Amino acid sequence: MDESVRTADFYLRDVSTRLRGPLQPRKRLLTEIRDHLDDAITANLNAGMQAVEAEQRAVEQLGPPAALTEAWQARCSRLRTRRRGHIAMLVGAAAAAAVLGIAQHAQGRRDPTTPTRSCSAEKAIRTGPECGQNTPTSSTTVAH
Amino acid sequence: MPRDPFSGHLDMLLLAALRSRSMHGYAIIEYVRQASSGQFDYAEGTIYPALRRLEDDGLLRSRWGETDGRRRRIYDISAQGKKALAVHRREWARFTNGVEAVLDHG
Repeated sequence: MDESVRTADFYLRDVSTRLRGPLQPRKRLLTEIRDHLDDAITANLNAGMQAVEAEQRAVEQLGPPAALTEAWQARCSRLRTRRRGHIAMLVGAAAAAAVLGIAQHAQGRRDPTTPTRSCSAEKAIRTGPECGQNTPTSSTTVAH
Repeated sequence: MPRDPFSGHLDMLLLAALRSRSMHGYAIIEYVRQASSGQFDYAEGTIYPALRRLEDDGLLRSRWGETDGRRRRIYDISAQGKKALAVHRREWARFTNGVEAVLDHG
């Protein structure tokens, strides 16, 4: 293996170019990986390894960059699917609310408890209590 | 031990590592390594997406904090995570009891 491939910087660059998705989560992941490499290299140095070996061993233990980035992309896909589900649920709820609102409006127009103008009532208003008859009322009756 | 048995139970091991104290990523890996006597062979980098997935699910929380004078992302288990760990443990016990029963049968 090319020795440069086993350096921490190369590993981080490789992972960085493979990662997809929003910037901030990617930056946080790369920071955590860099911190991990720092801790692992320190532990390997404390265990008696030389600097080059300590770094190479730390990189090897992280595994192939592709394994990390595949796991990351799987997590991102899962999040996207979940968000789509939430959006679909919200759209469904909004559509249901709209349908319910229309139904209630229509029901309100038909509701017998709601005052409506029937044919006879309208005619009564126009012509008096008996539809079609112009019955004079006491106030309009003129005695001759 | 082969890689597959570990990957299938990674979530349970991460939750178990964090059940009694908060830790950063490298400390979690060290904890699992020491507690298992180095039985698991896996790509250590893959635990970071796994930790984020558990955080997405509300099973873990995380924050930036100081550890040994270094700034690190520290993970804690949530109440929901403790419940999920209890479920994992019951399922694991049922599974291992079943396997042992078959191995011991006859």
